[in-house]
Amino acid sequence: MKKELVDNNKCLMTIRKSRKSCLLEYSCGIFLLLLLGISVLKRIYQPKLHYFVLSLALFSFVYAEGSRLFVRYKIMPKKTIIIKGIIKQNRKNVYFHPLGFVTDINVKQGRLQRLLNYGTIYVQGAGGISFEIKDISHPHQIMNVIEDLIEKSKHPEKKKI
Amino acid sequence: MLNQQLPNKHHHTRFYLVMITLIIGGVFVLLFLNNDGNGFSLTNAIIRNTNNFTEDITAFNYDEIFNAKSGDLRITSDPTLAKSDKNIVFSLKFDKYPKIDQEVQIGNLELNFNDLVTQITINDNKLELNNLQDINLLMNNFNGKLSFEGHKLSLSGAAKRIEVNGVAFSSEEEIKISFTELGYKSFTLIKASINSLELDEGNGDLIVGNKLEYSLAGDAVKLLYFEGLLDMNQESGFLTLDGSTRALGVSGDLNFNLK
Repeated sequence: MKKELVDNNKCLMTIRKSRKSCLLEYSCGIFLLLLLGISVLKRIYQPKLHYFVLSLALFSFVYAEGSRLFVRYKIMPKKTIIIKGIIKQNRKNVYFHPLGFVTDINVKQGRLQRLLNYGTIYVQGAGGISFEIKDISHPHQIMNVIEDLIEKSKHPEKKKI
Repeated sequence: MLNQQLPNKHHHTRFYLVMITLIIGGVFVLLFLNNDGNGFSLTNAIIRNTNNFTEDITAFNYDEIFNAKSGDLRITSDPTLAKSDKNIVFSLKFDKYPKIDQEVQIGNLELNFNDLVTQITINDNKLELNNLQDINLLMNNFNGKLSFEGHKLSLSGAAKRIEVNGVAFSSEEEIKISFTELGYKSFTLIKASINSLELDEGNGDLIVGNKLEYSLAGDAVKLLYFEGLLDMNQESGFLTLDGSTRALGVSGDLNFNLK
């Protein structure tokens, strides 16, 4: 996460999907590499199988990292920008001011997610879920930041310079 | 809608990744259980582990292997027979050489020859042997096809290390070597695994364990799944076998089979 000077056009923080949410993919990749290593140590030569396992392990690592890079969230003083995609991008601006009447800000964490301290934030406005910030680290802290920003957008006269 | 599609796709990819990993894990477990240097054999590992394989393997299709009346040894390529714990330890000295034309695995191979005419290729390159009278060729961990008949040896496969008159070729990958009908002076295989050996009628001495000593006179010998040392020396004219076998058959004046 990056924090910069408070400015309407400056990005307060950039959030990406936590690597903890890709634990399954990393585990599969590491497990496959372990199997490969053990088979080489035991002098089991099956080149086609080894190449397949190696490429699958690499795929799982690349997939995990790719899914991380695919979505990022930029928290600005007045809005949240949700950017999806790497080459072809979808960009969604969600302004805080309309969310002044937000009914819910929820953090959802499963058992493992709670242990590893990552989860998903759902921000629900009057018309349903406005946006969600998925699989991020320290969701409670991020939720507090968003709550503060929404509160500030409701009462701009209270904003400290 | 796009948001719904992406998570579904993500979950599908995750699911397939985990399932393929589990399947590959299962395949590797079977490979590790089956690992005895004889190559990949999925069914063998299943048979050994699901049946709590303790039954006497000699009862398994034994009649298909030996014809007890004539001592005729019909060689089967059933790999399960190679996995038995029961082996016959023996030593054989014989005046006839076997005919071999099959895939073998050899721990160490030592070949002594002075045939400079026959072309030897190593990794598809010709081995130049000029101005040499006596050549000593050593190989470690050879896998491939071995053929010899009479005094000619043919070989095609790969080894981990090759040494020619003290000059070594070694590589992290295997080194391919091949030659055809090379005349040799002596030939020694150590830690060899050969599926079958057939020796035509000849003379020699057979010692089985510490229990049986038999003088062979005009007898033929057949061996199934031999492992051990094989030595052939043109000067002495004798073949020496020292190791173990799954089954041994002698046919001649007296026919007997050992299992």
